[in-house]
Amino acid sequence: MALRENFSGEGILICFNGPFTHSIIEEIGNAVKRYLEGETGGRGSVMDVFAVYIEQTQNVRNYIARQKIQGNGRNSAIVVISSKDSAYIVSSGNVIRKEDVGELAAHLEEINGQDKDGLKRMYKETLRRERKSEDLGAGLGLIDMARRSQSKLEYSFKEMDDSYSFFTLEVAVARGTEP
Amino acid sequence: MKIIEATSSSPRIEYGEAGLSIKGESYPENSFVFYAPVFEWLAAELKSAPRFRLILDVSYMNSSSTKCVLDILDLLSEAAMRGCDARVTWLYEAENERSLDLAEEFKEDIDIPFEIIPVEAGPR
Amino acid sequence: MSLERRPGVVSPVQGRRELVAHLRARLEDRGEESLLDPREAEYRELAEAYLLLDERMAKLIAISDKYQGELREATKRMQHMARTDPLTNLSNRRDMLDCLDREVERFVRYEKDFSVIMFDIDDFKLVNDSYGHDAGDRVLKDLALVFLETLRRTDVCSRWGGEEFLVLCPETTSESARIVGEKCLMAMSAMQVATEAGPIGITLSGGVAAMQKGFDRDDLIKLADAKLYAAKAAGKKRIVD
Repeated sequence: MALRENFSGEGILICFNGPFTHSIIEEIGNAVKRYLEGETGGRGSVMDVFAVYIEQTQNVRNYIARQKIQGNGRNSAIVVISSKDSAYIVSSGNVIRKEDVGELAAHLEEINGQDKDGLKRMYKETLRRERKSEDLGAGLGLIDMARRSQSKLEYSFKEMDDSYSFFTLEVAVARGTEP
Repeated sequence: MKIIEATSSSPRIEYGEAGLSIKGESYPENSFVFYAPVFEWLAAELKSAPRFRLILDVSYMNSSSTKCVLDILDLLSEAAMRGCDARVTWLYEAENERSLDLAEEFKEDIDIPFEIIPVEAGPR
Repeated sequence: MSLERRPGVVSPVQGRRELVAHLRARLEDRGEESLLDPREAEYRELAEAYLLLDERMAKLIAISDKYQGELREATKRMQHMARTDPLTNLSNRRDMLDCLDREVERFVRYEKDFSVIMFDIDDFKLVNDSYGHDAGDRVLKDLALVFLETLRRTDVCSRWGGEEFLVLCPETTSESARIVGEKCLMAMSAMQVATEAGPIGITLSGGVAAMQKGFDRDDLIKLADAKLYAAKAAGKKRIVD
């Protein structure tokens, strides 16, 4: 992990590649908060970046744990926080099982097709619907991220072999604009 | 009065006589596991409590914590229907609009008295 | 007069330090008997000369140590320079070839799998033509930093050519190397390099090759190159394994 002052202003702020344990997520989260401390846009956008970061990394962590993805580099992921064109971008990449691609893609498409009110409605429905233990699903988290972002969720699936694909997700949070 | 100390990713919980307070940030490794003892206690307490006060002072909660808090609010609503005088107080830092947004969204779906109060930044 | 006091007699001592201490003590001692001895003056002179020489020697040893240290440092820096690309501080081709040789040896001897990834910046010539060579250099430098952040500690990254980077991934199958490659691509896509015309981004293509039985070092590099070529042909900004 590193805080990249070299990239002064534009570019990569934090890049971490490795296993996403809870304590690593926490530690990097603290770095995110510290880095954004001086952010002039106000607490709102800082919280949004932090929230998007937490939702993304916890989603990845939960997926890997629940799916019991193991070994061979498959259970480590990457998160990058960068700034570009007056937005902060939180992106993550991890290996997923091919059979999970369809549902995830459909879910992302559905989310991207909603406007602000639609997202709020979707959020409330999912909030009511999710059962307690098993469905620590990406569902609510993705919608939450979409609500904090002013643009669509950018994603890609790169087929790796018969069983796995590499999934990347990019969420942009505007710097300092009030909703 | 029972206390669950805060950690860097979970809030401070205090529960006792007719009241529960949740204070800090909430993004624990597993929210359902974290809030389980709170539910248990709450369910037992609400069976007979004539009044109940929930105080929330949470500057950030992840999506699964939000679900847990909603479930807690539902328990309070049900108790209110059985005659319990249940109320919610939500405190938020004045500059943190997200916390205000979250409070208002909860309030929309809950029909027990729900007051939202801004506080100045700094130790409380 | 006791034996120790007689000039010219030095009690049996071990080592310089004790001798020096003995001489100092002896010089301070102005016992009556020793002053009467005609050779006392000569003895004192010799003892003082000895102490002076000893001090000078100590200083020279300290200076020598210092220079030895500096020489060692300079040697290290020279060796580092011989193995490093000056712009990016990554390993250079020469160093990578040595690393590869060692890894091939390990493969043959202990059957330790390893893979390589050949990366190439997409349309780098265009970057240089549109934004100038300074911007191009900055791209290379930033890229190197991102590689170092994204690769694992055991991976070795080298600047293989003008815009080519060869990464060695020890104890890694081609599938794992593929994942490493995808992560690098992802991190690179977040990279923004400052230029006079504003920040620019770049993309990479990469070819992954795992070491096979019967291959030598150059066969492996050729295979990675072929995969890279396929990546470019398929539209760039991707990894082929």
